[in-house]
Amino acid sequence: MKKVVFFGSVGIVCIIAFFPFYWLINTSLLREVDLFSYPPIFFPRRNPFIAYYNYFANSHILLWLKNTVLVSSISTLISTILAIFAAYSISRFRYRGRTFLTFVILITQMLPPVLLIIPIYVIFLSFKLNNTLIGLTIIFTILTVPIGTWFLKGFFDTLPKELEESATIDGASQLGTLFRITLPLSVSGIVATATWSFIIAWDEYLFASTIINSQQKWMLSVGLSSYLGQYSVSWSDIMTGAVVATIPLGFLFMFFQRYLLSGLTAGSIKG
Amino acid sequence: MTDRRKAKLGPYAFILPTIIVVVVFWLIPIGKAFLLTLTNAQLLAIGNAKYIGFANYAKFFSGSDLLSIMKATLIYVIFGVGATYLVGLLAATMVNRDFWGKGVARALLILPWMVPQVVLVIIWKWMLNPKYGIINFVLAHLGILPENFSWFGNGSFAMVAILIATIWKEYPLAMLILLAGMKSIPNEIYDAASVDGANAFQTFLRITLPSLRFVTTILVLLLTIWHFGNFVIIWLMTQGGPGNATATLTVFTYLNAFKFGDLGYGATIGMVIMVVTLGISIAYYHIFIKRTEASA
Repeated sequence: MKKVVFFGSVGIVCIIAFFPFYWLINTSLLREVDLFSYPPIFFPRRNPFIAYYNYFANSHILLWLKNTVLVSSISTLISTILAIFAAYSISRFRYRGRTFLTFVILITQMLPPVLLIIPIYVIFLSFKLNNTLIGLTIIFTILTVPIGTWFLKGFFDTLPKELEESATIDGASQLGTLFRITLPLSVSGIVATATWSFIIAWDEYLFASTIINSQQKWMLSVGLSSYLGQYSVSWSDIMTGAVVATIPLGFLFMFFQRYLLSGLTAGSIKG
Repeated sequence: MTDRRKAKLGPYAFILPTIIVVVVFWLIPIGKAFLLTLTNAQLLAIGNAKYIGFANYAKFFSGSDLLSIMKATLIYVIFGVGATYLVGLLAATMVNRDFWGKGVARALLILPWMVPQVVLVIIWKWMLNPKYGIINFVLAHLGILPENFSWFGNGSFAMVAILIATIWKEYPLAMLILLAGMKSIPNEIYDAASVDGANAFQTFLRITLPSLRFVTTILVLLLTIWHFGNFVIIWLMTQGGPGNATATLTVFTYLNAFKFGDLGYGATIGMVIMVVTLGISIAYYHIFIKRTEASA
């Protein structure tokens, strides 16, 4: 009896967690007429290859994907490099002002993006960065550097110090130690940090929709949101686009879930 | 430069680029935002901004919108954080046990975490569609809701819809953090409890929950800051409507700055958010975290 209750409740919770995904995929594979059927249709009615091919051919999704991949990759690269040096400094050295500088980096996490965007918009106006992908790349970089630094600091903290110390005794410079000892040991942490930055950039909507106004430069998130409240695109096509936007993140989460969580909780569990 | 000098400056050189980025793109803009709050700067005519002192703050704190904005914000934060935590705790408790199919259950339960925010809104808007939404279909069938019920036409239901979508996306994070906390509780404590004849519920109440105290305080703080600052989900679901029913502080900030074009007033509300967020964090640190650390 106890077992039935347990498995029953696990089952219900899992269905609630999973059903919206099923509905997303199912709707993307329905014909337009099926959407308005009563009762709703629970199983796909379109050939997935044809449905997705048509969507790719007749929508701007490839352009949005290109913009998103471009901006997210470049900002991730810059932000991860900055974070590596900053995290190395905080994790490995004890010096005057260290606590204060760490605080300066972390305080950004308390500042609401919706406040930041107002002065950024004004400043970008005078530097002609509004409506440019360069401006957006800068924003995604600054949004991800602080969290990336914190992630990597947590990761560097777990590495044994002895190796680096022996390298220093052998006369290696700080930079040499970082590149020859610390970095090779930290590949998984760096990959996780970069993944996290990439996910944040991919998911970003506030800045992407405010800074950019020409459709040619839309991110995926902005393009997809433009479907909402627009009656010319059918819900099955909207869902097709939504699936396309989710799949890359799904893979990233699947491969790096363990690392992502350890980075995210490094600060909270250990205190 | 001697090697020792070099070694002393090294750490500063490593952190310098990031500090510059943070100062130039976070701290200076926030200072600039404060200056904007003292002006009547308009989106389309920033050059004509005039100094108006603290008039924007006076307007906000005496305005007729204040009460409804605060109410929407508090409902979103309190119910959002509370429910996200409870659902996360329930899910973590389930997955913390060993049972057949546990791996699959865990994988399914984490899934909502990976949905992009825009996709999240698209999914729930479609499922809650008045005419063709699956949820409306089921609820109308069960006689709970009338047919063609519009969630987004009613302030309370719009808020419920936003909360459901938010909780669905956020609970996996709560679950994973709580699960990590549960795993760090030594098995011996549980063994001792079962020898003493404690049942599952007593063990949960007396051992699991108290051991999760520190994780819980941090998690609730993270969730509070996150819900307080959340903009995208609410904005894409309702844009603060109907009326101002779901306009939280963040949505109200954006509405004023970029829809109504009043940058000065928008920045003022943003400042209020920042001060409250910092206040919550500092108070929380002193009241809960220090004490929890001391007793741990």
